[in-house]
Amino acid sequence: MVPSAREIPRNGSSDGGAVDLFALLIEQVVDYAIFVLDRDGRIASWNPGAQRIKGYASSEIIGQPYAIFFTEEDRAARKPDTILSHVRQHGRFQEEGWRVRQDGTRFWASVVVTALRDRRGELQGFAKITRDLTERRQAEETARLAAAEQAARRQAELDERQMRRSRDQLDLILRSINEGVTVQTQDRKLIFANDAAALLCGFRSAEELLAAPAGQLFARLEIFREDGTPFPVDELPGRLAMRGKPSSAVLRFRVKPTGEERWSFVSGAPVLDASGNVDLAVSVFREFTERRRGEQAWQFLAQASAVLAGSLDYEQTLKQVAELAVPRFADWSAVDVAAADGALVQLAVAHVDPSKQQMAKEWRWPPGPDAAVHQVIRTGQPRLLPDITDAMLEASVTEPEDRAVALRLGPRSAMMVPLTVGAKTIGALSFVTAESGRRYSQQDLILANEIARRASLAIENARAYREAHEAVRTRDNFLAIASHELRTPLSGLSVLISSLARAAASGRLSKLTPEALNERFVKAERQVTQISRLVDRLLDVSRLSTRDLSLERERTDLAEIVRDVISRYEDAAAESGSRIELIASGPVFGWWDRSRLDQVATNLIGNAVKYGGAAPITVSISSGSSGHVRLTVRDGGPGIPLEHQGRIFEQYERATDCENLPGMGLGLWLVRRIVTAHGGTASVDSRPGHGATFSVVLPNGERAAKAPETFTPVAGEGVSST
Amino acid sequence: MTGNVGGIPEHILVVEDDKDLRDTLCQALELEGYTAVAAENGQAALRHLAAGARPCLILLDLMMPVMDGWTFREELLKNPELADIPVVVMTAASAARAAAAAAQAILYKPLHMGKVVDVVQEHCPNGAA
Repeated sequence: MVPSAREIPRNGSSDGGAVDLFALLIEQVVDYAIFVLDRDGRIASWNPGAQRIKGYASSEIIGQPYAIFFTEEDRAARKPDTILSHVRQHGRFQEEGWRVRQDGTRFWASVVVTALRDRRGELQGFAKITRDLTERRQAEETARLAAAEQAARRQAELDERQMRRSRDQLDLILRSINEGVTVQTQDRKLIFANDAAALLCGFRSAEELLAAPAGQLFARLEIFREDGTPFPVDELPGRLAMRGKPSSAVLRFRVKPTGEERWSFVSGAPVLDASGNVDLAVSVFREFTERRRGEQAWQFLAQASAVLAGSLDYEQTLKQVAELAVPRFADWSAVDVAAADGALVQLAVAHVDPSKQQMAKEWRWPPGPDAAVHQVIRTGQPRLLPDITDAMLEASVTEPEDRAVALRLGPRSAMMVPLTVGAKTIGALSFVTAESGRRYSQQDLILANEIARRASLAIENARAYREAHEAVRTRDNFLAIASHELRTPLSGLSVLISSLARAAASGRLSKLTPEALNERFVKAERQVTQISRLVDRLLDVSRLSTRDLSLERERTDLAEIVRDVISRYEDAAAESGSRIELIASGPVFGWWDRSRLDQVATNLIGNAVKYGGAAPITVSISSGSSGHVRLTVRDGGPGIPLEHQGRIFEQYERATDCENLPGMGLGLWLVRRIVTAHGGTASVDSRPGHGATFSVVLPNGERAAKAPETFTPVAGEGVSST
Repeated sequence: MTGNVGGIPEHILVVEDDKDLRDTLCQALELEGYTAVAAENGQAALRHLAAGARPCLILLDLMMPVMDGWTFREELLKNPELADIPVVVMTAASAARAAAAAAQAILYKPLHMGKVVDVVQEHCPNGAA
């Protein structure tokens, strides 16, 4: 029988002092529960340590099965029996595990169970030593938790640093990409925007956009669909994203203050929070303004080409080209051509803003003869002004008023390309950007040059056509008039001959006296002469229509020529009851082509006799102080209607507008040709009902005669002979 | 409708601005036995008629200075006393333009005396001597 700890005497026993000491040890150890189980696992002894750790008093626990200390789960798993079986077999069992105190609380225990055998090896019971490790375990747990917490904190810091880095990287990426990106909160607050997005909205930087008051963005932007209709703000992809709907759209943004336009493909996507609600709306803007402009430029080229190829009226065509260029290729566009005197004539100007059209008219930069367009026409080389700044405008324009106009027009970029026909630059096309903020590049210049090339071709074609058409019309007119004019003298001849033939056939010829018969033959001869002269004249005119008039200058007395012509017309004048008076002080000499001046006088005096009626005709010749000579022929006829005066010197003018009058309409045309070839002028002054005065002013031609080598034959007055 | 009003015998009025043709035509008509009176334009012709002359036929050129053939014809048609005088146009103008003169016949230039006489005979049966 194993004695209970209680039964161990305090002050020694028959076993001597050692036994007592051992009993004392057991009795006084409070940190360990040391007790004995009988062979069946019932508690047989108890010590103060056991009571302290497990809560039971000795009286309460002696005899109880030791399974009482196990947790319910362990008991259900028959762990108490298993342990004892193990000890019976192996002599010892050790573990750390949960045990239960009397009050039901658990504690972490270190347990050693040892088999107690007698000398014969018979199992007498079990010694069980239990130590409460709860505190240690708690300390360990605390330490472990602390370590874990620290690790977690370190991880969190690491994570945050990582995240911050990622965010910075993302930020950097978003800032540097070409796509515009904006992020808005559910309450429409803009929390992120990159520069690309800011530029698209007409701000200079993301910072400026983010700092702008909420309402300002849409106050300064107009948004359109591709077809040009306004795009409702509420349907913008960003707004739809706020309502949870991802979407995309092609949009055209117009910045109201500057008129700048940008095209963008916009997509919006919602960012949801953990519970599935929209947290943020992300908008991405992929700008394709340049591509769009490229497309539009080529559309412009295609349309302009069609227009250029389709019409032979090149002035109208160039106007159309200028109009087509706006707004697709330019904000304003102009066509200038060089007139004969080198001055520029603006054929057309088109401006995207109708209110600036008038201002843009004839506006050239820089002001004065160095204007880019002048240079282009002078050199035949295109000009590209990619960047025009206000500073440049201000520096080049001195007049405050002009400066204000320049700044209002606000050109930003410009191209001028030459229109070249044959080897000659005849004008230039100008393309200017302002409102759109667009900058022209070499690429654009290539396209502009192509337009100019096609326009030049069209001009060449039109000119060739016009000339060919003109030539055909001239020939037709000439033939019509020639045949018409020949018919009257031919009629005379024909009537005369057929009349004589009829008389001969009917025996009536004898009625005519020899004198009468002779008179008829003289007349017939005169008519043949007249017809032949007419044919010569027609040929002369025909030649002059297509060729320059070359003069055979000699010292000539104009008064003598005029007197001669008057003598030829005196009879005809007398027949109409008129007379011709000459006012000339004496000979009037000059270096002229005698036979051509005879034609001039013949035409003017002949017309006066023909149309002047019975009123007297006054011819006067006078010398001016500046080496000029004036010949005037005044008749008292019905005069020339005002509307015809401007065109009376045109070729075939009689045949078109004054059809009811005889004559070829060539006489006055010839007068002007001859006078112009001499470097002079021909004009008419007439009040209907009060006759007409034709004036010819001729330089005396001395310079032309003295310096023939250095004087251009067709040159008029004002051309220096250096 | 022809007569000797105003003391001028039955005659043909030739209105033509080209002097040679005018004279030639008058002489040729006289050689045929007619009396011809010449006028160098529409205005001169009107003056002749205003003096009371009533020709059996007017041979009318169209393109003339002072008063052309069309205007003369209009003036003639405006006046009931003169409107019935037969008018034959002599022209090198187109048929359309000649037709505008509303004449009894059109003679195209160059003229041939045989055709002129055919027309004259139709309107002046008593003229030929």
